[in-house]
Amino acid sequence: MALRALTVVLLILLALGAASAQDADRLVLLTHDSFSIPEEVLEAFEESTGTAVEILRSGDAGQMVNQAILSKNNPLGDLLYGVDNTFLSRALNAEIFAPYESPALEHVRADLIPNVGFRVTPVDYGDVCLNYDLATFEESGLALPASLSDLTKEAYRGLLVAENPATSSPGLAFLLATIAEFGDAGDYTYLDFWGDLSANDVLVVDGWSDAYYGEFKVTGRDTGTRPMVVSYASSPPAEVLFSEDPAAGAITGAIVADNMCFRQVEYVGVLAGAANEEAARQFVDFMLSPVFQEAMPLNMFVFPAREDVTLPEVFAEHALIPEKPAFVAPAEIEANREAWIQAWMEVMLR
Amino acid sequence: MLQIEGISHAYGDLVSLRGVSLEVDGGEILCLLGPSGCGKTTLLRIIAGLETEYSGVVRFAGADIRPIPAHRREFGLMFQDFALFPHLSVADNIAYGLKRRKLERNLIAVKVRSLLEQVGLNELGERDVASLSGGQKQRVALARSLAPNPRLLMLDEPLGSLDAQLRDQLALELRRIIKKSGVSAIYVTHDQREAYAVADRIAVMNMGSVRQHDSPRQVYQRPASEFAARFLGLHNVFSTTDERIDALLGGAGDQSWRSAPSVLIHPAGIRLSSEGTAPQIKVTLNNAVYRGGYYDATVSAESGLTLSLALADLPVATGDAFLITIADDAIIPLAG
Amino acid sequence: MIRRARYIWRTVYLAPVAFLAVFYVYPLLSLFDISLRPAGLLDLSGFVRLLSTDFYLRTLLFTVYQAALSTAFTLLLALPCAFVFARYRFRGKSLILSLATLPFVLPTVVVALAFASLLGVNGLLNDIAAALFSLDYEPIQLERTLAMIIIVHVFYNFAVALRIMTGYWSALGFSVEEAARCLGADEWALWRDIRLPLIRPALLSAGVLVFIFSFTSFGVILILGGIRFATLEVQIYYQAVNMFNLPLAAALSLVQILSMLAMMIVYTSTQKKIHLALASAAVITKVVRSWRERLAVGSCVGLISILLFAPLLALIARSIFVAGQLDLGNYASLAEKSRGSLLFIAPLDSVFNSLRFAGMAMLAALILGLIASYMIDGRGRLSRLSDALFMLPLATSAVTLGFGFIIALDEPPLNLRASWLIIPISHTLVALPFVIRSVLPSLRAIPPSLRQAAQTLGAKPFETVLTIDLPLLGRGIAVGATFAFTVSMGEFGASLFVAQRESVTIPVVIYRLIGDPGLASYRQSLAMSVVLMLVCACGFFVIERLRVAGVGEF
Repeated sequence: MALRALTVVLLILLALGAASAQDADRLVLLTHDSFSIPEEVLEAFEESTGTAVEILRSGDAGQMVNQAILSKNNPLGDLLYGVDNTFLSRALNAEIFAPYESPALEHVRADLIPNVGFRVTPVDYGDVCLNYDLATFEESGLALPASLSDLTKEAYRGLLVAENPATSSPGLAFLLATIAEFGDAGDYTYLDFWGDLSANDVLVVDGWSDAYYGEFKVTGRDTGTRPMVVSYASSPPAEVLFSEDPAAGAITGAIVADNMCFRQVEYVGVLAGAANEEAARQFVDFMLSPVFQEAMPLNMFVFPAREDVTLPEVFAEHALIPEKPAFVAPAEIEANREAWIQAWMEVMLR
Repeated sequence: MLQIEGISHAYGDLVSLRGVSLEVDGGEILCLLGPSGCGKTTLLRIIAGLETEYSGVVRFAGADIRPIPAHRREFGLMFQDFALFPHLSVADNIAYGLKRRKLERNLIAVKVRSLLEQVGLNELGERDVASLSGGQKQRVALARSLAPNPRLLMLDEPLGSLDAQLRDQLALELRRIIKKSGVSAIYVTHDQREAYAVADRIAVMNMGSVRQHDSPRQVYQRPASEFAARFLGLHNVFSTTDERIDALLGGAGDQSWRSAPSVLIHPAGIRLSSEGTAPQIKVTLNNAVYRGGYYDATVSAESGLTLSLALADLPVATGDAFLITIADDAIIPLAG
Repeated sequence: MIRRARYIWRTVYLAPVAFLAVFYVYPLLSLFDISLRPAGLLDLSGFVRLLSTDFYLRTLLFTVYQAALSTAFTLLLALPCAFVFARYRFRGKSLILSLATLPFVLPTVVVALAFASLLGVNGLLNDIAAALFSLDYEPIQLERTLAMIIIVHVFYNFAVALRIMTGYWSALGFSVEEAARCLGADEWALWRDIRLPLIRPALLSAGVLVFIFSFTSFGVILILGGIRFATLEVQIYYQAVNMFNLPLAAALSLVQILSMLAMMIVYTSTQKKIHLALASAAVITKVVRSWRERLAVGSCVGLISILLFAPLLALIARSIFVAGQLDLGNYASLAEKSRGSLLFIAPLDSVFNSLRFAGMAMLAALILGLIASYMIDGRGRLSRLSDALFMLPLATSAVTLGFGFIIALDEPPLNLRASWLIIPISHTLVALPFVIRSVLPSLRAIPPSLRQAAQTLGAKPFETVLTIDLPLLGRGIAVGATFAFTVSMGEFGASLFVAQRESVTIPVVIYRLIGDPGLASYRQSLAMSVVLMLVCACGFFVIERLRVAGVGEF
């Protein structure tokens, strides 16, 4: 009796889950969790090509690349967007991309195009740098730090919140900026710097939203205690855009002094073995089209790779672009990323 | 020594004891005899202090002991399942109560050794209790409850889990050991043979009350109630309103049984009669079962009444008639 | 005839063995292969890294430390409660005992969220305290502390310890204890000499089990602790997924598997001790009368109620009240599928996924588990070997399993990586030991004479199984089904690896929603957790009812 009842329950459960339908003509875009683009932009592509677009988000940039590598024999999607210069070498070494030279590349800033045989195409870039609360610095009369090593000075004690490079993409970018500045060998390495920073009461949290929305103090917003945060150069315009009174102007600022920022360039690539390679190529072109490029700043808070698109007003007004970001070669990043992070964790997470 | 007065107890709606009063004298072994569920074990638990919700009075040596918790009563209780401490050795089991009395270690060792000897387990002191046989466990349990020289020893069906052959032998041995220690004891059993063997006095219990309180001999020979008679295996119990009993016993001897609700014709008082002795009753032999040394026989009188009796020899074949005599003292009036 | 029957049995026995070989041994070997020989040559860099710093040693020590703390607190709370539950009879006891088991079947993501809703910086308690005492700060600062992790581990494992000890104590009876009282033992001596020594095997057994569960804790730490509180399990996931350091992840997996194996051996040996038959009278529970007894029972029931209900109620409250107003919008949004969300499907679709996968995993685990139980119940070396063999998945972290699946099962003929089948398969693997552990005791309890009697009455071997074994196993099967179903519903570690696109399950959806910055997603994750909690509770109660009915029937 009990067994029969159990069987009935089982059959009901099985019936509930009739296998989901698979539709034919669609394009799967593998991307990270931060991908965001208005529906009408995607619809424009769908209407012109007749191909449905599905978005498959797979964690942060690192997790996404790892997933793609693990599944390269049987790709999860047709193209991958969101691999950046900190993970590019890993993706290239694993040979997950099929080369494609988009005709739209001619409009793209030349310094963004990597010399990798067109296996990836740059789409956008953003700079990770320090943000600060304007009101706090104005009221205290404290000068902004002019270099990274300034941060270890007594004046900035307990003011900064940063992200763990092991779990956060801006955290890693900032770590790379410090490595570019101090190096990983010599009398005073990046680890010594972080040790001093730690002694100067830096707060490290796991994720960007924890840091930015949880710990970062913005006067007029009821959160956080630290007036400096590791964020993006595009965060101040975003802050203006989302504030209750955009006309009131900026309430935060970004510090874009030389060698204090790290530039993340995001690329798209057609996945080798894609089911719908033709559509994937069309989508690469589409991502470089003005429609898509112009939509990016206000949706993902990045700067478009094309030089010839107009920036939204709020960007033009409030966004600063560093002239000389810190630089670490992708191959060097790939070779040392893990060791650097590991060493960092051992200094910081004791 | 021990006096209990008007003890009543219930498990929820289930009444287990109804106003039980009993007394145990110094050095006496009182046996509580009755079927399972009659309240014997509950009574023991109340005396031991394990059961605290009841009405009535428990006195020991004249003092009301109701407020005294179990561990300070210094009463020994031997459990039906022996309740040996599975994590302790035989010797440590026996020593447990002595240790609670804060005796000196050497003294404990000496006492344990002497107790082991007394119960015949000299060699088994270091053994794990799980490895013992049923009889051995019973001895350990006895030794353990005797060890701290209890003021009163209670034994709950101590031979219940053993087989019949072992039981007869151990019952005698138990009596010997208890008597030797001189302790007053209450012995609970449902087996009359065991009770006869062990007890100085027997209290027959049924449905939560004591029905009879007598010496073993008296209990057997003159059961006081229909229940007691039947429980002791005496089958010749008849209602006094039954006309056939009137026909059987009418006219002869003492007629005092007529005022009781029922009457027992004790098989021990039924004899084969030879010509000339009177009064004689003619019966037909229905069947007989040989029990080794005697026959268990059933016969019917002319009135149709069926009697059980023991016969040393079969006087006639099954179906044939013969004569019997019923002794006057075999006719026992019974309370309801 | 007999030979043919035996032949058939051998073939049937092959099913669970083959399943284990293909879906456990092979992925694991592949994992070690890719880790130890990344380029086809032996490369022990993973182990070298492991030993080159004391970082991983500290991770291991921390894992042990937090598990030991969790175990100690769990036992400390469960021991007196188990005593009260075994000793006293009171209204609602069986209901509470049954309810107390609920956390065990609740998925880690749900529990983590529930405690965040209760004790987090923006949790219910802080809101209440702030409102009551008009504070402008949050008095309870447990977020991302070890204390929070320990509290959740206690919540999780309390019922396990309670059940093991209550069961053992009840079976033990109390006549031994009463004997000690008659011999002069006061309350203190009773605990010292009798209760603690006697309960020791159960205490040890429960302790080892709680330790194992806390040692492998993944979801709780990932969500409530973060990388700073990384246990071995979290570190494996992190090294594999974030750092892509497969050799190191594999080396850590190996350490994890070995530690777990060692603990499983300890656990099995405590199990043997606990099964030692103890002669005892019928269980006599006492009615609660005195004020001390009332206080004891009251505190136990109170403790369990608070531990159990407070977080779950906080979770529900947080999911239906938005800014102090009743608002079911969080639930309504679950049915929407939007391309802008983090998910490939509408959150609610994952409920159907989870139910479907749990049903399949339950069925598969029951069938394979039954066969495996017969195999283990047999005699000889094969049975002893298979006993250990089928427990292995329990000793392997779910994260490691998921990782191995992705690596190994991506080529024809076993190209399952993109198929949804990989999820019920991985769940079956995780649920299999639970089914075996549930069925085996009932199977062993069937006296061989019953089967022999059936055979002498003309039953063929399979008829014997059908008419004698299966009905008698009803209870064990139902319990096994409970476990398989709920284990599958809540499985997180492996699913996080293998679930793809349309096939994501509820726990994965919840985790994704938590990770998405923004209040809307967080609220959605709360609503989703409530849904999963209800589904698990329903499944649990349905089968619990079945179990009781089944016992009544047989």
